[in-house]
Amino acid sequence: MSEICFKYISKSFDEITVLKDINIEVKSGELFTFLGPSGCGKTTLLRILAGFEKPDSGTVEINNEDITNLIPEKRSISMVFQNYALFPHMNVFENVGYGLRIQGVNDKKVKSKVAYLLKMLRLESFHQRDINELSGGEQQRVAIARALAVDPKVLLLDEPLSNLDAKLRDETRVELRVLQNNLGISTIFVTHDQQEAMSISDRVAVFNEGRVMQTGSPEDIYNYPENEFVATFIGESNLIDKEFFASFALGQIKAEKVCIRPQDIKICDNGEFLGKIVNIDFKGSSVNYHCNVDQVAVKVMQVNSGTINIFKPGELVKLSIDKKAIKKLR
Amino acid sequence: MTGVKTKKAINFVLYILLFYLIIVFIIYPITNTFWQTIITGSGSVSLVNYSTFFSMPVNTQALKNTLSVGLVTVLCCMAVGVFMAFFVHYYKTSFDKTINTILLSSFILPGVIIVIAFIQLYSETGIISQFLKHIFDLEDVPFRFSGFWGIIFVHTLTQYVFFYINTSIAIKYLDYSLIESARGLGASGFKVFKDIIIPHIKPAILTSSLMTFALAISSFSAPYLVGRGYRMMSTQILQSKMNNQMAMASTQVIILMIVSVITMMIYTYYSKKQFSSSSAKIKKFKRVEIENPFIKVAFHSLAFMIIFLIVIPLVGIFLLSFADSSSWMMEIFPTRFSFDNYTKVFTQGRILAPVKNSLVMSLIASIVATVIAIATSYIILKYNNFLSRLLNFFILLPMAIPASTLGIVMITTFNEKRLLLFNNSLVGTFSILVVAYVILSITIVSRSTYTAFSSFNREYEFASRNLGASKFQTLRKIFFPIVSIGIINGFALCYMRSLGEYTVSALLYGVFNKPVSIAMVNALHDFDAGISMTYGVIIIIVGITFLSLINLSEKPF
Repeated sequence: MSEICFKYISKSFDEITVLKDINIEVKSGELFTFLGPSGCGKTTLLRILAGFEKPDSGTVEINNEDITNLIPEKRSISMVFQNYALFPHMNVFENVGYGLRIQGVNDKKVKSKVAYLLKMLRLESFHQRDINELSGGEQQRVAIARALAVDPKVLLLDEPLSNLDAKLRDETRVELRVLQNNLGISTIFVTHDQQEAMSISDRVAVFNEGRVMQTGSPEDIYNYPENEFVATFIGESNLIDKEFFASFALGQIKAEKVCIRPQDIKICDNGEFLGKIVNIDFKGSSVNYHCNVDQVAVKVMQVNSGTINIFKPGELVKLSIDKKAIKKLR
Repeated sequence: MTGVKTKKAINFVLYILLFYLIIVFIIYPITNTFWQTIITGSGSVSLVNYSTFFSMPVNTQALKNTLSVGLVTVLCCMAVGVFMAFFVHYYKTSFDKTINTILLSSFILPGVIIVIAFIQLYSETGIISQFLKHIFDLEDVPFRFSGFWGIIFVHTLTQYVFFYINTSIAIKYLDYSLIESARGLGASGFKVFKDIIIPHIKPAILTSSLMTFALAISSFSAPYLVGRGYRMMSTQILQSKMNNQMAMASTQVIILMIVSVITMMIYTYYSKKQFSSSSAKIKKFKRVEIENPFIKVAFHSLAFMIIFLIVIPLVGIFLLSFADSSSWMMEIFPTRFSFDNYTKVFTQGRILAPVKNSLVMSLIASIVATVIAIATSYIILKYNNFLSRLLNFFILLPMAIPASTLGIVMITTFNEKRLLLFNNSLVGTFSILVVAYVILSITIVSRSTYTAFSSFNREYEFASRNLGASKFQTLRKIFFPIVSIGIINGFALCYMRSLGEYTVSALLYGVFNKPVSIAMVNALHDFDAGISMTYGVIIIIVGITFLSLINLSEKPF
C-alpha cells in the first residue's frame, strides 16, 4: 500500500497555467477522487503522477520517495484510460498479459494470472476475443484487469465510467468500489461527475481553474463547502447575499454570503417568510419548486411521500429555513 | 551525452538526410532544368526558349491538344465514374459487389498493360475490330482506334477510378435524413437529386476532375502507343529528347509542370472542403430502388456494357498470353494455344531479364520510399515548425511532376558528374530508374504512412509505458504493429506502380536495367504479342499475389 504526496505542483502549457501550487496527500489504500469541471487540471495532475507530464515546479512522492523525474515505466503505477486504450492488434488475453510479458514473467504464470484476473472481473470466456468484439462495459473491465495484472503500487482511473450508459455506470461504480476495497490498493479516480465522486470516494479534492478548492470526505465537502464554487458544484444550492438576509429571516447571521440546500428550506404553515411559486419540477421521489422571495430566486425541495399537497405556479407559500443547515461561505 | 541530447542529435541527422535527399533528387533537378531553359550558350539569361516554344505551331498545338485531352477525359470519366458509383452505391442493383471489385481493379493495374491490351482488341488488326468487320461483312474496320478519340477511349476506361471512388464515398456519407426531410416537404425524386444529392457530391466531382485532369495531361503510354501522330506535350518531350533538342525538351517540361502544379494547387485547396454535413449525427444512407422497369433495364444494360469494356482487355491479356503469335497473324482469332510463351519467358535468360529487373528495382524503390516516408511522417508529426512544414510541402511536390517531366529533368541533371552526388552521375546506371520510381511514388507512400501515424492514438503509447514497457519496446510491440497497415499499403502501392511503370522507364532505361514494361512494348513492336501479353500476365499475377498476401497479413481493428 502506498501513500502519495503532491507538493507545490505547478504546470503551464503555452503560458496558460493549468495547475497552481497543488498540495495533496493521498493515504495508503484510499480511493481518492480528483473532481472538477473540464479543463480544471485534474487529468494533468494524474498524468504528472503517471509520469506522462513533468511539472514546472514541485515534487511527487510515493512512500516518501521522490518520483518526479522517474520515467513512467519505472513508477509501478497503472492507469485505466478514459477510452481504455486497449491495444487493437491484441486480443483480451494478450492485452491483460502485456505488462507481465514486458516484465519477463514466464508463460505459465502469465496464463494463471490473466485467468485469475479475468475470472475476478467476470470475463472468463473472453480470453480469445478481439477488442472490437467487446461492449463498452467489457472493454472497461479488460482495461482494469490489464492495469491490475502488473501489481501496481497505485491505480489511476481517468474518467473510466464516462463511456458507459447510466445503468451500467451505476453498477460498475459499485463493483469498482468493492474491488478497490478488497485489493486495498491506493487509487486515484478522476471525474467531473459530482454524484459519482460522492458515492465512490473515501476523500475528494475539488478542482477549479488549476487550484484545489477544497479537500475532504464526501460528507464534509457536501455539508461544509468552504467557498461558493464548491457549494454550487457539489449538489444544488441557494446562495444568498448578506443584503437579502432580512428577506429570509436571517438577519442575525454574521456572514457575507450563505449557502442553503433546497431540502433545507421547508414549506410549512408556520413559515417565517413568503415565497411565490414560479415553476414546478416533478422528479417522482421529490418535487422541486422554483420560488421567488423578494425578487430572489430560490429552489425548494420537498420529499414526495405520496400524500403531500403539490402546489401550483403562482401560489404563495410560507417558507422556513433550518438554521443548523445554513453554510457560511468565505 | 544525456537522452535528450541524443534525441536532438538523431533528429538533426534525420533532418539533414531528408533535406539532402529532397534537395538532390527533387529541388535541384527541377531548378537545374528551369535554369537550362533560361540560360543561353553565352551564359546570359534569356526567355528565348519560351518564345521559340510559343512561336512553333507544333508546340502550341501539342499544348492545346494536351489541354483538350485533359478536359474531354475529365468529362468522359465523370460520365462513367459517377454513373457507376450511383449504379453500385446509390441504387439497389444486381452484382454490385462483383462490379465494385472489377471497377476498383483498374486502380492497381499498370496503365501500359491495359493500353497494350486495348491495342490487341481495337486496333486495325485487333480482334474486336476484325471480328466486327467480318460479322458485318465490311470493307474496312468499323472504327479507327487512334488519335484523339483513341486516347480518350483508353483514358475513359482507365482513369474513371477517381470519380468512381470519390463519388462512392460521398454517397456513403450522404445523410439520409436530408433526403427524408426533403421528401417529407413534398420534393419529387428529381428535385431531391438536384437540390440535395448534386450539391453533396459536387466537392467529390470537383476534386476528381482535378485529379483526372492532372493524370490525363501527363499521360504518356496512351498518346504514345495509341495517338499515332496526335501530338501531346508528353510525347513532344520524348520527341525533342530523341532529336537531342534538350533545351526545348526542358522548356516543354517546365510548361507542362506549370500546368500540373496549378492543377494540383487547386486540387489541394478544394480537397479540404469534401464531405461536410450539417447534421450532428448522420443517418446512414439507404440504397434506392429503381421503380421504373424501363429505366432499370437501361441502367443495367449501360452498366454491364461499361463493365464488359473494362473486363475484356483483362480477359484478352490472359487468353493472348497462351496464343501462338504466328497463327494469329493470319486469322481474326488465335487458333493455337500453348504454354510456349511462358516457357520462353522462364527458360530464356534474355527474355526473363526484364522481369527480374523490374522485380528487383521495384522492391528496392519501395523499400527506400517507405523508409523515407516513415522518417518524413515522424518529423512532420513530431515537430510543428518551419522546417517540418517545408518538408511536408516538398514531399507533396513530386505529385505535381508528370512522369515524362521527371524523366527529362533527371536526364538533364544527372547526365554528368555532380558534386551533390559525390562526383557521380546517374544516367546509364542501374539506380537511375530506382531513384525515379522512388520520386514518382514518394508522395503516395508518405501520405499513406502519415495517415497511419497521425491516426495512432497516443494513449496506446502511454498505456504501454504505464505497464512497464520502455520506449523501444513500445515502438516495437505497439506502435509498429498498429501503423503497419498504412506502411504496408504505401509499400504495396509503390511496388505496383513501379512494377508496370512505363513513361519514365522509356526515357531512362539502359542496357542493364531494361524493365518489363519496356520489354512488353518492344515485344509488341517485334510482332511478338504473345510474349508481350505473357509479361502482362506475370505483372498482374505478381501484383495480385503481393496484394493478397498483404491483405492476409492485415488484422482488422
